[in-house]
Amino acid sequence: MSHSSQSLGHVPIADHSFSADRSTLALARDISVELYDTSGPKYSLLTSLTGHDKTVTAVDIAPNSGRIVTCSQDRNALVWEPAADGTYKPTLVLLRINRAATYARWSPDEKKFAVGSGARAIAVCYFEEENDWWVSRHIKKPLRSTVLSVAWHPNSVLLAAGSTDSHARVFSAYVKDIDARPSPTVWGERVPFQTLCGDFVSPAGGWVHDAAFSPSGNAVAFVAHDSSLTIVYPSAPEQPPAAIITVSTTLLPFVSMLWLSESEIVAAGHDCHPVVFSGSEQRGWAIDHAVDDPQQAKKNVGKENSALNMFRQMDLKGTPTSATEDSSLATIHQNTITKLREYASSGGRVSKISSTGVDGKVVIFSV
Amino acid sequence: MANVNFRRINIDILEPENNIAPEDLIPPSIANLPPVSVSEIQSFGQSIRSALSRGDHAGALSAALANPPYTSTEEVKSIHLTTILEILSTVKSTDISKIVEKLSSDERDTLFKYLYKGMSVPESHGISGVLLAWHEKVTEVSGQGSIVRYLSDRRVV
Repeated sequence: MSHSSQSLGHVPIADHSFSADRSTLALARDISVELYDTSGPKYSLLTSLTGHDKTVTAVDIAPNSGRIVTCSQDRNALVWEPAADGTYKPTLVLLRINRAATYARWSPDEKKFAVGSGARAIAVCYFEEENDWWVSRHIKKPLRSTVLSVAWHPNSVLLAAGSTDSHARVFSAYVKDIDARPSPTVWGERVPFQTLCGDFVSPAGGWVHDAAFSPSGNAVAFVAHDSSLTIVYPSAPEQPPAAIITVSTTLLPFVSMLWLSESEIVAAGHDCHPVVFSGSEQRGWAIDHAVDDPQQAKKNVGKENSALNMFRQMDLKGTPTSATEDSSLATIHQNTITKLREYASSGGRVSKISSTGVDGKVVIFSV
Repeated sequence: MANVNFRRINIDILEPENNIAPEDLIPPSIANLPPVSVSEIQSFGQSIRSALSRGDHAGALSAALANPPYTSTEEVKSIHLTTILEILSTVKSTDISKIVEKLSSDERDTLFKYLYKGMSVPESHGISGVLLAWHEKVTEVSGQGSIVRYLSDRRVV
């Protein structure tokens, strides 16, 4: 288990995205998006994309086209088109929202992206050839509050959204002129735009920070502010789900989550280290192990440093009992982890994940 | 217009669909829970007390925490709170850990609600030490997760 960590200043990182070949890293921090070259041992700043005038809340690099979408609390989203000379040309997207944009993600086919917002709406954006700009359609009902996250189904039509009204919902984001007619899924057979295909809450409620479809798209999971992870297995369209499994943990709430495979999920948040859950519809779900476990780290530190510390303490304070004044956490991240992303996978399972946090660190974990 | 405090204007009232009624905030899991009457909760309290007098503290606590009267009136809720505080204060401090470990994780979350509720009412000032002892033991078992769940849960006791 090796983890590599990069400390990139002290400004909190809201979101990050690696390019498909992992050679470039985009960080959303403060009002700009920073692009880093990741080839060397220490990440070096390539350029800063400045176009927003309030905090940038999300950044996503489309793996194939290399386009970057960013959104911000200034109520705008920008699509940055890469040019041959390494510069980026921004295009404003007509979001038509009157509150902050909170989250943006490309659909897997990269023809659309979804932007969550504080205006109780999800803007599904697509490129209109005849007008030569990005336009949006809104999913509004029955959202009652800010949308904190959006995640796409592998078929690029369905969308999972987590919201501060403590609901996680599955919508259709089918845009007639853009998408081919989708084949039926467990979520629905005919799904015109804005169809609500599922609506779930966790038992103790709380903001839903993140939601995601499983790799097959046949299950959806979400993390809420009641320190829980909930996994929903639908049965058939318009039917109650086959199983809703909630794991209430003893940890602080999770902010971000990621499916490693159909039977494994990793989640991280206010406890500053990732936790791996495993299970299935039949077996139920439970915590499997913690990555970068602070309990374990504490033990190791205690063993390694005991002799050294004893002499140092005797030297400094004239007493062998070490009153450890180290205020740092035993985990790699020193503050809340804001986002987890897939970094590498092998044999159909995600083997490495990248994380960013409020502490300005980028860490790549082996899981 | 100049003397209108614009920060205090409720702009959401101008857009009807932005208004959230209190009933929109009731979690679906308790939306159909029938309210409990005062006499029902009193007789339930009696059965708990008879279990207590038999010395079955764990059973009494777990029965009292199984079905909290979430949708009932404040009067019913306070009667049930008194019952639970009675159980908590009759348990010997050395037995607390054992009983906490026997509870399910949902029951521990519910117990947390009653601990905080107990600390917030003046009647419990005499037993706040007991409540703190319980708080410590429950946190040892169910961690900070239970505290966060108490904060996020709209099923209020």
